[in-house]
Amino acid sequence: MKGFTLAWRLLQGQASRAWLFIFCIALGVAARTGVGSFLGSLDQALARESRSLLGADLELSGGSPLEAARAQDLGRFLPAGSRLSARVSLLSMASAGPAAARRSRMVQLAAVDGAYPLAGALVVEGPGGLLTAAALQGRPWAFAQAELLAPLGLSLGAQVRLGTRDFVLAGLLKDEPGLGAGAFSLGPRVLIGADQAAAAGLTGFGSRASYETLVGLPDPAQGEAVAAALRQRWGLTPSHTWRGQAPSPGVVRLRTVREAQAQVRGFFDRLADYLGLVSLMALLLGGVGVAGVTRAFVREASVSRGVLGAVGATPAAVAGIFAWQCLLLGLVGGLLGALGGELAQGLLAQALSGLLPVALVAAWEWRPLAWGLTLGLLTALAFGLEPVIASAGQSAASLLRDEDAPAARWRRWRGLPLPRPVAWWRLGAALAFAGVAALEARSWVRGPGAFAALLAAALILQAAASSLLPRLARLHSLGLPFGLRHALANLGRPGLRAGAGLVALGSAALLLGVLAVYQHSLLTELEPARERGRLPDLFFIDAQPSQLAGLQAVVAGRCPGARLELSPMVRARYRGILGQAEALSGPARTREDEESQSMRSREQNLSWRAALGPGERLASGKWMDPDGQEVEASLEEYYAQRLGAKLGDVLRFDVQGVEVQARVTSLRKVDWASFQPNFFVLLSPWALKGAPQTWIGSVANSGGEAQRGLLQAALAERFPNVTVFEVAQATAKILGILDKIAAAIRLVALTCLATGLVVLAGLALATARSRRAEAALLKVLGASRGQLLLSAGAEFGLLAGLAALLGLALSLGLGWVLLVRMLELEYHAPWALLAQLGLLFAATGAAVGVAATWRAYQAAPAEVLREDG
Amino acid sequence: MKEPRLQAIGLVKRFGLGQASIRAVDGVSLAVAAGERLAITGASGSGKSTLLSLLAVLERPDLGEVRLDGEPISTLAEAPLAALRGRRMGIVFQSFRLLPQLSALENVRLPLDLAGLGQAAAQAQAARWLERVGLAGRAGHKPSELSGGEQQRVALARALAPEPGLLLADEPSGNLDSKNGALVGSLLFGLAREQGAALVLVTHDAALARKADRVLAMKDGRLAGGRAKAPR
Repeated sequence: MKGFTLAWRLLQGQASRAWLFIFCIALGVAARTGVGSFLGSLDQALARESRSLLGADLELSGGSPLEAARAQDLGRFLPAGSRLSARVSLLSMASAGPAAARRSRMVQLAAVDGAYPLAGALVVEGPGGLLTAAALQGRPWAFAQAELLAPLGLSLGAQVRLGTRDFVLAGLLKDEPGLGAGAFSLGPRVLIGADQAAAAGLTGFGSRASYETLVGLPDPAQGEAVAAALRQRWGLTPSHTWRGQAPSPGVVRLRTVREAQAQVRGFFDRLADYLGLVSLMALLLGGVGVAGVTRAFVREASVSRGVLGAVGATPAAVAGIFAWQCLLLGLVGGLLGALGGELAQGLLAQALSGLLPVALVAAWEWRPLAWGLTLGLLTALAFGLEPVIASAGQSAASLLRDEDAPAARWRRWRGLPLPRPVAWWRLGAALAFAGVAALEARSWVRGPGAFAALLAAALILQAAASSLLPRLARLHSLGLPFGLRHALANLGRPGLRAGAGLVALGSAALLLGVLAVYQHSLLTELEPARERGRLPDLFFIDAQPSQLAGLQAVVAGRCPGARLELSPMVRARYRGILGQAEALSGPARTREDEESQSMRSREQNLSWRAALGPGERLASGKWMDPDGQEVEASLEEYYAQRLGAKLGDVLRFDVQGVEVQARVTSLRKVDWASFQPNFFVLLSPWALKGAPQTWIGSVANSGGEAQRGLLQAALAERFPNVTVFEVAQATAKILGILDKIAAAIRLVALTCLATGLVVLAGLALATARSRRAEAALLKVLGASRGQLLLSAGAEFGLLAGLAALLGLALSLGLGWVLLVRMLELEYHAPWALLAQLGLLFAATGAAVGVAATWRAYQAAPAEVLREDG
Repeated sequence: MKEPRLQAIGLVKRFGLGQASIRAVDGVSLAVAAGERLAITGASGSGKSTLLSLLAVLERPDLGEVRLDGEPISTLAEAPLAALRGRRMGIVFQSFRLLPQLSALENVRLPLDLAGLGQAAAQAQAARWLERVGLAGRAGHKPSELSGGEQQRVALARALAPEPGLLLADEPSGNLDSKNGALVGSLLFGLAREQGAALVLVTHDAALARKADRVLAMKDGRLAGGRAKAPR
């Protein structure tokens, strides 16, 4: 009989254990496959609608209109039959209402020509039907998204001020290429005619517009080839060097459909890193359950193992039988989980609705299925074989006597202590999963770090379980009702092995708790902070030096008590560290590489100030010498890390063609959540004063909403190139996005809770036999079935509640480390929410306990007592 | 001089720790020649089952050595020891120790499969031994469907199927009524003689012990003087 056949035969009569094993694996695999399939469906949807993301096959953009020579060259270069469309995009202010009650909102404005768009659909509803971009040409008309109407009190046909001109709101913008990606935009979308932007002063002095030439090719499939040839012809930089900022005048960027897709995908890629880690945790918790199930099975199969040893089975052959069982059950669990994940990807899409740029159609993807299945099998083997290997040294006679495995002892080799084989197995499994975590998070730091945190939490929970459960059990001697006393006594039941259940449920509570702490802290800090005056009311960008006095006058005039903070900003490119060769950027292998590449290649915003601002402090080094001869630089700490720069290094910047070198003399910690003007790089004040610059600033204490609205409208009127936005709106947007992200993570984290409950059910089943016998005796002594079931509910409710308490306590600590030490944010514990979570765990644990012990308490006493002889 | 089939030299086995430890086997030495049938008798708790476990190296002695055909086996690593047990020893337990999920035939086949014998050969050999113990018609039945006597006969067939040179039996009739016990006893001795296998039998069934060539008594972990059966 082959090992597989024997493995299959030995599973007979173990249906409940087998199903527990399968479910433990299935839940984790479902989480992983669901995440992977969601991304796969997103990729397919992006590929399907990619042209409509861009509105064309290629997009050329720059900080100024395309030079005539290049425009001519483009016309010669493109294949015959290509079409062109011009668009100017910028952030601007839209205002409406009477002068005394004027309201303003920041909008994403685009001035488009009649040919727009070249791909995808523009759907605009006017009073008389659908309108096209051609209707905007030569008229002061605007199309706007519905979100703009209510804040400005607008309706179709009303007047709205853009720049220095009034426009008629002629149509409601329902759909536009790339509109779906607007979940991350700073304002509603508004379209006007190509000839109207200049007339409204929107592209005049100081404006920061992006001038775009859209290209529609006769054969869209040629897009990448045409782009590559054009890049070479014009010597253009690759698109992964930008950060979505408006390009500088004279610089031309080229973006293809695939690159637009990749940029949209980028956010979801990052989210997928976290979701992948959380789903890996669900799998690991499932592994804890698998280990518990197998431990019980291995123990029960002691005699069979002894017999196998007595008739010639080597330890490897016995392990092989169990390995086949783990593979078989792991495969079934993996397939079930994969199916579940594919079906559940829609739940994830729903949680993230509003952030998705395209409509998803759930699709079957073989890669996430295969990866999920592989992880499921790895978990099944790693955790399923651990108890087998742990008891491998037990003698056949001891097994035949059905004894527990002896306590682990260190072996010796030439006098040196050697860990037992099971220690090596555990180490190997830990390294394997740390590696998987690194792959999931695309980071050698975050992935293994999260895994190590979970491992540490599991060890703490296990230790706490071992220490607390016996103490709790002793409380049964107190004068409590029978059911509760019995429940407490059962916590000390021999063979209960509650550790696995506590670890699984406690880890789930830890994960959900950390999420709750993080979200609550951000919510608590950001929303009321502005009300308390800790955050500014308004933030503005792109003010010219010559406009500063005017800005100050307008602010002072409209809001006499307001506080205006101004900071200069000079754009530059980073050229490297003096004396060090700048590494060639190949494809980034890890998230850290990506961030590093991004930091180096992005457009740098340099600034200067005489002293540290309110939202920053020195982390190391000393502040710049105002009378120094050498240009000094103060870097934000994280930025410096990503650049690989340290104190004493000399950085090279290209400021509009002029190289500026600055020695790093200090590193700063910046509170980005303060919404104060802050910068990664500050240079000596005298170094950049002559460079082309714009100014950014913030306004605090501007008074009530009405006063603020008037101020915004006045600024928009007088300075159309300056973009002003309300911090409250920005924080609301950020919190909204965070909310959706948290919902997605919470959804995947709920599989951890489900896994914990399955493990808890396993505990009940493992003790079913002894409960049955005990129930028979108690019934003889007068206990009712209802009392016994209530007692079981109390027992498992206590277990789950204890697990939740421990896990949530750990989450408070871990949350503090994350928020205060790592992110330097304020920490606020969501006590009410955590209490609700604890009660949820206890209630579901109690329900699972009752369900899992139902059958054990059904049998009539005589029947049980007869069986036991 | 030919090596004895089985030799035990100064075997000691302790259970428990420190002051509370007891010597279940206390310095036992014996030798069993090829084809010899040895019975070990003694009261409950005298250490005879522990001695049998040591002779089968189902557990390791704390002191002393076990040799099979002159080769020390009590210090072998687990893997070669298990393989040796499967091929050169057959063990019969008091409580049968059949795998409940396997049929009678599959239980008999088990050591042959573990030894790597081909499917067809293992099947045929197992069927042959099942027939030798009179249970050919019960080949497909699971242990739960067999009586105690039938189960023990299946266990006997399993022990003999690899045609080992040494048979060890721990109270083979201990869980059986007298009729079945006698049947199992006859089969045990008869088949062992046919095979030319040495037999070491632990029993407190006097009738069964009388069938042996030599009887040793065990008391308090030690072997008392035995008697050899007078040759016929």
